[in-house]
Amino acid sequence: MNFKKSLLFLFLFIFCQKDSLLNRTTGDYFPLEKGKTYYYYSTLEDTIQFKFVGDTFLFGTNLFYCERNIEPIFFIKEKFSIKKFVCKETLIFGEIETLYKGFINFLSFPLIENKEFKDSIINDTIKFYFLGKVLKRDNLEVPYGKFSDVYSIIIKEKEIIGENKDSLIYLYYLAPEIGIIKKEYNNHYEILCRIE
Amino acid sequence: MFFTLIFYLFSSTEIGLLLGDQTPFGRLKRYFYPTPSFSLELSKESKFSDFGLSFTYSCFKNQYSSLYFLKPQIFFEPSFLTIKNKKGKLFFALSYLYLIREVYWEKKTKESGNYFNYNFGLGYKEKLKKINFKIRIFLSLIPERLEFEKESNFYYLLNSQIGVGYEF
Repeated sequence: MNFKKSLLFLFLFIFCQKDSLLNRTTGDYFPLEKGKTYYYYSTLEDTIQFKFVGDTFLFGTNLFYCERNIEPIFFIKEKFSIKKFVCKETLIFGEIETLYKGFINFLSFPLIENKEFKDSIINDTIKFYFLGKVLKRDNLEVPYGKFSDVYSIIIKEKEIIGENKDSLIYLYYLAPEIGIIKKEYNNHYEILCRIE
Repeated sequence: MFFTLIFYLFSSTEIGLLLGDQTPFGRLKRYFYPTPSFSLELSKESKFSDFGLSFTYSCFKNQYSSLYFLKPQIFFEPSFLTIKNKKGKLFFALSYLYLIREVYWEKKTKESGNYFNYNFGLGYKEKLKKINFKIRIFLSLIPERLEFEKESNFYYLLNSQIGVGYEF
């Protein structure tokens, strides 16, 4: 076998098909990196600052503390899921009363198209249902950049308090190693424009 | 040409069976644990270097998914130290990596991907009549260039192999 044939053989190897399977298989779709601040452009309000503050100990457990503008948000990060702390309070006769609170399964990994995940908080008078579904994988461009292997996830939240029923639908776009790059709800959207 | 190379190797040479371990690093380590690997190889010894073809199988697993590695490769093992029937070797290999990912969630879903893979490391070979005893430790580097992102991703695996070869 001469040198030219050997070289041709090597080139056949070198130009084999490229893929992004490992990117989505090993990518962290909700990184929670301490100290980082994500800036989202919003059609509903001023630019939103989402600050990843760090670990904290609250409600008897270790949580990751974030701030969305000044609103505190708590997550628990596990290897194959993200849990989010939800709490609903109301004023009854001038006093704050907690209607429900607890951790719900906000995201479930690995992300794969058509996968569904659900959770709920149910007590005597209040029911809170949470349902997520991974819609599809695609490429997406936002002001911060263009991303491959972006999963869109629809999340439905429904609360039943006595006779009142209320529901919200969110559409999240998650990119590997970044997290949420776009969020849509009620004909409004928030898109990632800067990370510091 | 590929078959010419196989016939050329068959006209020689040595058949080997290697058992090993693949340890993931970096992003691969995030969801997967070290796993065993199995290799079958055909090689030929020349004056300066051993070279050959091999096929390696391994499977990374976690509770929700499996990632199968099917890796045909061409390798070169030049000797850098020879003492009687013992040889210290460098190891270089170019691999075509075919990956199959299975995710278990109510129904099992499957997808596949193709990569090019570089391997380099050290080896040891000892001849005992027609049987060769082999040890290798090498690093696998899998580059990934995405459609949009400017920076490439790199994935690393530390491989160790031990095996025997039979010369015929």
